[in-house]
Amino acid sequence: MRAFFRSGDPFIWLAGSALAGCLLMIAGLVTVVVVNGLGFFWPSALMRIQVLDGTVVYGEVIERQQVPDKDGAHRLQLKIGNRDVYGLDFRWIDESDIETRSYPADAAVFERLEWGNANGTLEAVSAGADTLARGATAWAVLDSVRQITDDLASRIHDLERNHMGAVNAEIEAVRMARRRLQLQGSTVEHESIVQLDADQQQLWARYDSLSVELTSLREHSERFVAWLRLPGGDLRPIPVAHIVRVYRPNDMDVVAKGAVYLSKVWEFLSGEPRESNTEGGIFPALFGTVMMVILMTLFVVPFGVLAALYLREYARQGALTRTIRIAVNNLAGVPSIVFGMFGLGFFVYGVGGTIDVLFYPESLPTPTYGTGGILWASLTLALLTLPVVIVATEEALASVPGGLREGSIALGSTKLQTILRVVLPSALPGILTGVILATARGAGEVAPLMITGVVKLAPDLPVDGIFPFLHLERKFMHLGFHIYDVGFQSPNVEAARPMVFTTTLLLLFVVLALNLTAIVVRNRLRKRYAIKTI
Amino acid sequence: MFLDAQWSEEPGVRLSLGPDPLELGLDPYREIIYAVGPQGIDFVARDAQRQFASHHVDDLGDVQVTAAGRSPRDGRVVLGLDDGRALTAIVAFSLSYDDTERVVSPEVEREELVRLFDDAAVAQIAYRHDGNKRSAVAALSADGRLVIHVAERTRSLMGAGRVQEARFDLTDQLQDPITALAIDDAVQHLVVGTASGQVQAWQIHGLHDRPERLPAFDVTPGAAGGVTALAFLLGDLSLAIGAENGAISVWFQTDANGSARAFRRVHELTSHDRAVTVIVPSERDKQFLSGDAGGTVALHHATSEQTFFDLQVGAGAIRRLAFAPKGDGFLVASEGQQGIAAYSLSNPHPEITIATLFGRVWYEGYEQPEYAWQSTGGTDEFEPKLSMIPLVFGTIKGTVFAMFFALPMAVLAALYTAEFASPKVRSVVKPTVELMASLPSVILGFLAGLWLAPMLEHYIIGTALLLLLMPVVVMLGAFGWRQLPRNVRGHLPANAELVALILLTLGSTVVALLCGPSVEMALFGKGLPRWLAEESSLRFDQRNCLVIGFAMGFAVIPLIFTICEDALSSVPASLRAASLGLGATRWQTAVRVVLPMALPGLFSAAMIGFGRAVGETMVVLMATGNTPILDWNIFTGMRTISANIAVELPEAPHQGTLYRILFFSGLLLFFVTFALNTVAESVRQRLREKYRRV
Repeated sequence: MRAFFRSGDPFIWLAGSALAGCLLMIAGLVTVVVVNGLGFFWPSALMRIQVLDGTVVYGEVIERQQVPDKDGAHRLQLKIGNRDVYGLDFRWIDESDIETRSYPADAAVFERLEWGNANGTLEAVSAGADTLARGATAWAVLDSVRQITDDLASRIHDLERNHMGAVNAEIEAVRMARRRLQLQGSTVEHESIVQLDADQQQLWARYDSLSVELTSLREHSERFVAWLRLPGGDLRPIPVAHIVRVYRPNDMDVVAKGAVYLSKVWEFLSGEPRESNTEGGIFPALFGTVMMVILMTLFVVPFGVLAALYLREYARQGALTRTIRIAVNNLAGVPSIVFGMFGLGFFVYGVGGTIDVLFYPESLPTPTYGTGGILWASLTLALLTLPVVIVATEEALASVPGGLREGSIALGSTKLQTILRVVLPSALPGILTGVILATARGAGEVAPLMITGVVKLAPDLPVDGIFPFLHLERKFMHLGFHIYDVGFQSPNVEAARPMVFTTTLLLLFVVLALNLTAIVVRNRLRKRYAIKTI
Repeated sequence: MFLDAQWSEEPGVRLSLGPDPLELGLDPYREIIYAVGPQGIDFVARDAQRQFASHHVDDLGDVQVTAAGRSPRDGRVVLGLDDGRALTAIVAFSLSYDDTERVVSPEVEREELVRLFDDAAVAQIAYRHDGNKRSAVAALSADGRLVIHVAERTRSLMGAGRVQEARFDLTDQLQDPITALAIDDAVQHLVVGTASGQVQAWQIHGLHDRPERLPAFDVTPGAAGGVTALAFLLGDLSLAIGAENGAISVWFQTDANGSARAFRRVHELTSHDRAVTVIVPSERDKQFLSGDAGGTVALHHATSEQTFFDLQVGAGAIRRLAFAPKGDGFLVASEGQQGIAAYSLSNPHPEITIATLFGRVWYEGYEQPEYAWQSTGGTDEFEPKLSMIPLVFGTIKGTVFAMFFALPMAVLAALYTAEFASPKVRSVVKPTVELMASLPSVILGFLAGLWLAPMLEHYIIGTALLLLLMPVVVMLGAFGWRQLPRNVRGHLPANAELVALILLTLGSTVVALLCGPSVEMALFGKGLPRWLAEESSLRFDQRNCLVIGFAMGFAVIPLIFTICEDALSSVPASLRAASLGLGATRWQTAVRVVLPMALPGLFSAAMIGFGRAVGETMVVLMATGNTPILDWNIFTGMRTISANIAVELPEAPHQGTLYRILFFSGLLLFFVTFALNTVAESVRQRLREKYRRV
């Protein structure tokens, strides 16, 4: 035994178990996120439970748990839906209280725009006072009615977003132009102001006619109502226009369930959030993240690459460059929240405030650029990721074999030509690695964004069809902040949890994919140079 | 933020309002000044362009005003007359806009006329209205009698309601001649100062009961001289007292350790050279102005115990002072000077000093000086408590627990990877750990807060069990491995050892977690959190330091691991070969030769890891309760500097005190991480040189 301890093997194994622990932690984390995130969209069976006290519920079983302080007894957590009726989404039922369980084939889940899911059976479909269909034929009729309402919905959306939005933007522009003229000293009688007032009248008239059209479309679409028989026996109307999706999970095979699953995933990726972000999609957050990262890359790549080029190729290596390198490394270690603070103090209040005073005096005191926005957020993140790009580019430049450089210069090219035609192309994969790593870092960073422009719900995307199409001053949504907000600030954390897990999965996927790409690119690079230097 | 107060006398505002005003006041925009004189209230515009009607009391008969008092917060004034009556009124300033110009006009609305003394003139008077139903006028007559008049209004839906009044004569409870008196804003207390240096206090109980006498206290024990000025500061609890010998102190009622609630001396401020004649509180914070008999005005802040300036106004005694409602100016009337001098004042952050940021501060209502962070409160009178210490403490606590977990884990893992693992394993492990480093902290924070925290609460004993079980199981595993025949071991693939390790670790984790609850039941009879709550004084938060240790450790491990691994694997191979050649085992070589060589590298890794943990924001924001408490208990949360910035900066008004403090804390964070990184970087540079030499 003593020999065993003196050999040191147990300690080696102990050290190894630390590594095994680290690896397990990573695997565990990914597993937890994947399992929780992927399962959310699978339509699970709807159980009909007759409780001993006489009530009947339809619900999806979420969890089975031991009852505390009672040996052997279990209870079920059910997602019962119908929040507008019961006031709750979830309910615990002790198994000892259950009289019968069954899975009726006609039990349906109605996903709605408001109030979450409704569980029940379809009784009838009506339009206004007329009943269109009842009983078994109702399903077919509901499908065709839904086509009509979907059609109307897309027309309403188009009207609101594009036409009315454009008119609104014009009205605002005219109002601002008028203010600007007044600030410049023009009186109310001035002819350009009179002209603007006339324009405004016209725009308002157009707006009014559009809103009349909108109201009539809305009324038309609200006429269609689906009648839902609740588990308790009550009949409840659901406007067909409010139904997002409807399916009967107990009556579906794997293929049909897969189709619902895919359509839910698609809605998640491309839809707008509903119910204070706990339902619907995350498209604005996804879009905001991508847009912010692209902007950041636009800022950080030229600066980082040029700085590294200068440091490595032009500057005389000495105390100064060494200090700069240490400073850059230090910058990488500065907490991200400090960058955020700098962004707020310098970009938002400093630069943004000045821009407002100089170019947007007419809308003050409402700030235009003097408040957080996607431009300032991406500039802040560009600063944050600058060291990553500089360090990676420097390394890539350093690893370009000296022979290449000397060969190029020996052939008579200038230093600039050598750098542009020989060094940069060979270093490109390395630089790319740096850029990808910076992108990954930027995509996952949240703390600095929280104070420089992220919001929980942005009414408009930073890009739309209204001139000037790209609105850099707008606030935006972000996947990481979405996780924080929905997971921790939401009024209904329990209902929001699956949504957060799925968002986490998406963010994890984006970040890991970017990092894996970087690793692959780097490995290719190594191989290439290994061949070249031989 | 640490700049001194700026003040300046405004030109051309020596206003002639009679020689000796009884009371002064001004509007929020500092455009109109009013003064109470023997005839009544006179108004004057500061730019002397506009004239206003005076509000005189000659309609009340042949009377003169002999004393006046002002309630700063609601614009109420009281005029004590020479026939023993008092008139209460509201001086309001209405705001209108003439085109784009702002026009401020004064209005006086009389409230009530109350009888205080039947046959004597009023010498000193104080008046407060609680804004709801109760008001009180306290007065001292020329012949030394003290009377308090309490009125209560019952609101009715129709009409003005009913007013009930009561008058109490407190003269028989006086021990010494009175020199100053004050009532608090809530109309709960009456305090008077006496010529012998005592302060007597009464609790006001309303109409039916006589005010109850509270224990008197000596302001200047041992020294001669009486109390000469009294004022309640904003917040209604603190009483600023000026004495004849020039001393200024602030008192409030607290439960002194064990003893009953009593007034205690809390702050001592810089003394005047001469007797204090008047004290005027600010309407916005705990600042107050004091004037003395020698013509000096001083500005103080009670909580931070600062005196900002001594201003010599003239040779004569200061008679009256008034603080501008927005705290941006003040008025001085002094003896021998014609009119009133107006000053502008800029002191945006009076409550902040290095001492208040890093020292214990005795806040109003606290039992003793404390470190506290509480930046916002429910009421206007709320005093922000901005001590850095709870935040610094929280940061250190979180970091320490994270490092407890991360440092051994990362160093051991790096040691194994660099020294004992096969190259194939290493080529898999390193990129995996790099991936781990790239995980966004918001994901870690989310999992820690919503998944790990409830899990850990359930499996807390299981986790402790794991720490015991794991080494035993792993060592047993090593023993078993050794017992394998040599030729079997030789045929196993290179990564078999790691696979076995992973299986063992996983197995012991599962076993430990499964056994956890039953062990917990056996030990405590119920869940540990419940046991802690019921049987001990320890607190248990679901989001506690254990969770932080795990989550932040997770964020820091890859950083430390990578740097450690680099430092270890770049130790020159010749050293290793020499050691093994001399007969040392692999473990001996690693611990006695490689580790000491790479120690500076490990140190620098720890520094960098520490720097990362100090600045980590999202994990602590999501997985701690964000409560700024000073408590080393592992089962409670904390609030760190970084999380505090993330929580409060979006709400902090631009350029306000909180905004500046948050930037200051960010600067602190920056310096700490900068220093850590620089040290780590230079250590690493040195290490590289050392390797080159070997």
